[in-house]
Amino acid sequence: MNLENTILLMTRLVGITMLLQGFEIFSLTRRREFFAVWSDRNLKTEFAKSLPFADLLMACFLSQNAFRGVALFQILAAFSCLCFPSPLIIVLLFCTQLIICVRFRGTFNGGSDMMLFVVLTGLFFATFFKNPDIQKWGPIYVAIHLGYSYFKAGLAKIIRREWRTGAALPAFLERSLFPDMRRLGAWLRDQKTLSFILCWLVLIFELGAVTLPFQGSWTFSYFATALAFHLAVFFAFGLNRFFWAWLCAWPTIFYCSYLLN
Amino acid sequence: MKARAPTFQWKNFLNLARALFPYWNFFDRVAYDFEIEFKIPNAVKWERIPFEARRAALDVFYSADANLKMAQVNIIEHFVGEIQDLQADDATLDSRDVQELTSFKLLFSLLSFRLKEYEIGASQVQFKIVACGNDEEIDVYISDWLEVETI
Repeated sequence: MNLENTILLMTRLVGITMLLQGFEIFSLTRRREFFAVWSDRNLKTEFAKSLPFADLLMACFLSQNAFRGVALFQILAAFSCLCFPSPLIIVLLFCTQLIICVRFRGTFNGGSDMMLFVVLTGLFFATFFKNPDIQKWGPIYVAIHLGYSYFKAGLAKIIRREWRTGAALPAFLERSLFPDMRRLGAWLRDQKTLSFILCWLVLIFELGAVTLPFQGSWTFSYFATALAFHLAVFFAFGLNRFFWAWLCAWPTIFYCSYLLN
Repeated sequence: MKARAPTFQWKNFLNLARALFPYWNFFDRVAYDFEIEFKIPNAVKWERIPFEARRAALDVFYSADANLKMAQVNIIEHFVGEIQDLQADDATLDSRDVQELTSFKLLFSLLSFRLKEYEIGASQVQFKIVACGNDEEIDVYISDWLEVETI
């Protein structure tokens, strides 16, 4: 996949991802439950210590209408990214994403927010500069983070005894938001061999990311495995945002494979 | 006498912007699972608040309900983390310090909302956070009796 196609595909995927997420956030802002919890009353003391805003700006920042406006703006910006991507649109998406994360005291969905910032940063770099020798560092930056995210996650797991023995997966499944996954986790707890195999499959997949630069034609196989992995994680834990955030980053791996091979 | 405005702190700012500094540790530690339970006056038992999501056909595209539930579960985990930070400074928790925590305020608003949702018309409530392991449950924090918020 050459640089031009990589950037094109990334912008389309980012546009789709942030369009979907914008709709999710906007939908949340229409629920009383949301503003009952993440209210300006609950947040203002902490935010006053955390954001260098004057009182009036802080009041605007914390207002319900302003946050709905941010969600709507993200939807519009994401749609623009789909149709006519530009560095400015990428910056605007970066800003809406940051405002949303700040409103949730740091992140809304953890790792998926972090990966989106990585992708947006790389994409801005790739779209702002016109010299391909400089542009390419945007996707390379994202690819490094993507590969490292799998490897680091695997490394953090393999040092834990629960993962090496197969006890981890049932434990995590039993904490899923979905009752069917909790029942599956309870069942899997008694299937020690199966659980052991599944845990090691996850470890091998994640640690195997260190071979990505050398995989050549096997990159697509790893991608297919990653797709299945993220879909399984979504199905088990409801982490749809992770699926999309990592999908946005994947074109950069194919680009790096193209560069290296 | 006018109260002093809180002063800006870089540490707090960086915490709010921490999504800009990625770390990639996912599902590594099998630590305790934290649950929130509540009790109203004259009740004998503690009631646990469930956090469950239902599946829908297009969840992979749009999953506001599940994501909101996960964000609510994160509030509990943040609260436990902040309680542990307070205990690191001083082993005996002052309830006033705890009630000043933002995570406490979010958690209590969540509890008040759920009480209203369940149509429990109590004016006071006590809650606790329970750490659930494989074979044990430990009370991490038990609140004072508090006036239920009007939501």
